[in-house]
Amino acid sequence: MFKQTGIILLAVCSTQVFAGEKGINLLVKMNDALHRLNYSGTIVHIKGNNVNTLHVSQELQNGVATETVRSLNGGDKTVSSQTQAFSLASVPRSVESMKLVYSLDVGAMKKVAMRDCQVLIARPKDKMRYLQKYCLDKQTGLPLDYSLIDNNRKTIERFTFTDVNITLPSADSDKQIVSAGATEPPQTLIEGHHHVGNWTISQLPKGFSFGKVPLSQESEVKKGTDTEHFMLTDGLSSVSVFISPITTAQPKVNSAIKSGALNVLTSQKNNHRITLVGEVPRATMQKIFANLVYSGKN
Amino acid sequence: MSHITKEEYLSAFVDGEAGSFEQHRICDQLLTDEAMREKLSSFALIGEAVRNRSQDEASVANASFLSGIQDAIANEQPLTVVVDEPEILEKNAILPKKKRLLPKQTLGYAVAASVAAVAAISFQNYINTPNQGEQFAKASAIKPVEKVVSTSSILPAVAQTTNSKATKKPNSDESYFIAASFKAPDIKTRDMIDKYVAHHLQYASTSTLMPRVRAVSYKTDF
Repeated sequence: MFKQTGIILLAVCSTQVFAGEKGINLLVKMNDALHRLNYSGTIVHIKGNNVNTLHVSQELQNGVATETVRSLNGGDKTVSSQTQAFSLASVPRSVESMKLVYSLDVGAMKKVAMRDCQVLIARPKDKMRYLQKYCLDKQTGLPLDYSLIDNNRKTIERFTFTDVNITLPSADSDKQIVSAGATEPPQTLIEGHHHVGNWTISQLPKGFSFGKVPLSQESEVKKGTDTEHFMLTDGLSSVSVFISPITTAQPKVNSAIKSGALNVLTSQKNNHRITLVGEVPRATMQKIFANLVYSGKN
Repeated sequence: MSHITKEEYLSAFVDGEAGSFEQHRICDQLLTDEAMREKLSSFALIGEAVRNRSQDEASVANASFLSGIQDAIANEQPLTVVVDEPEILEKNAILPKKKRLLPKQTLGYAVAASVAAVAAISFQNYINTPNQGEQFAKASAIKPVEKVVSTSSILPAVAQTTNSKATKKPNSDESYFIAASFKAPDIKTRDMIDKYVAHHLQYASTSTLMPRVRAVSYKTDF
């Protein structure tokens, strides 16, 4: 009896471990696809009742990725970048810490934009972050469908390709990317630290750690203002914290903005304005704010 | 024997009082003695007439007897019974004893199933108990902000009340958030927020494609 139970438990655990490893591999494949592939297509972005249709394209030439996102809903809403832009996606993730707060489940095969894709679900183990559901192109790993689902099982944001064209970059371009990646980092990174200026966080939300910040970005944030900036990430979600001193007498006002999964919270503490931006529930931001400790003089 | 006449023997025979010897001797005489047969007929007729009169008298007495019984019943004292719980006695008297619909064993299974169900629900609730952050979110009871939330001042008293409902007493900053509601940012704050959002989407996102899409969508929102 006990022997049989043990065998069943072992089989279940093995299956879960295997699914988790497969999930990690799929995430790695997805990041690789986002950085190494040429693609263009139409994306529908749904946030609550708002629907935006956008044309997206990425082209790799001579080791440089040119990414363009243009709104098809009218107006001049375009974001374009032609640099080796830094993002946390380019920083190796701590798989172990991610496993602490997410369980990765590999789901069924689906079809999005006439392409076969594999469902991958990053299921949070607590309510400090959103559930993330991907459908990754079977052939390339590019995310064709991506949803963020809140604690009430409500989809708060969704990206889905309606048509997409994926091509592999030329062999020369691919070599240049590999060469650039192998020989020099794209940015000078500042190691994550537990205090910024006179500010520390007494206790981080479970699974979160300080993210690395590129030096150029830090100086850009500080430009013109004495603003401190640090990032927290759990591997799939991130929160930026901006702290700037209040120099003039102002009424104590709290501001909040929500745009899909993106939450923005602004408040004051110890004569400083604190702004939190991130794709996490507002309760998580409140927790971070509450644990911010000021050690300087007021 | 001389002083007892033939008529007396015949009367004893009719009344059934003569002995067997006398009965056989009288029967032998009746076969041969005509006068004796006429006497027997006369005695039988007289006896029949006497029995009929007795029956008539009995019928007349019957009517008076019934009325006498009725009078006796009417004069009878009522019977008194001492009852402790009249309603129960009445129910017991009226309703037959209910037959048990389910056997005792079935009831036992039902109770066990109920206990198991309650245990399962309790376990689920324990598993799904929101963590601290979620409790704060619920305790804050702030309607999810789609874009901007209405304004109000900070109410420490309200914060105290709300905190008492939370499982863990939050510190002063958490209660501050619980009590505070959020205001639409002014233009200056708005510019600052837009800049911070741009920085976040460019540098702090964990993937490359979605942040760009978010950045464009964010512009169309406001």
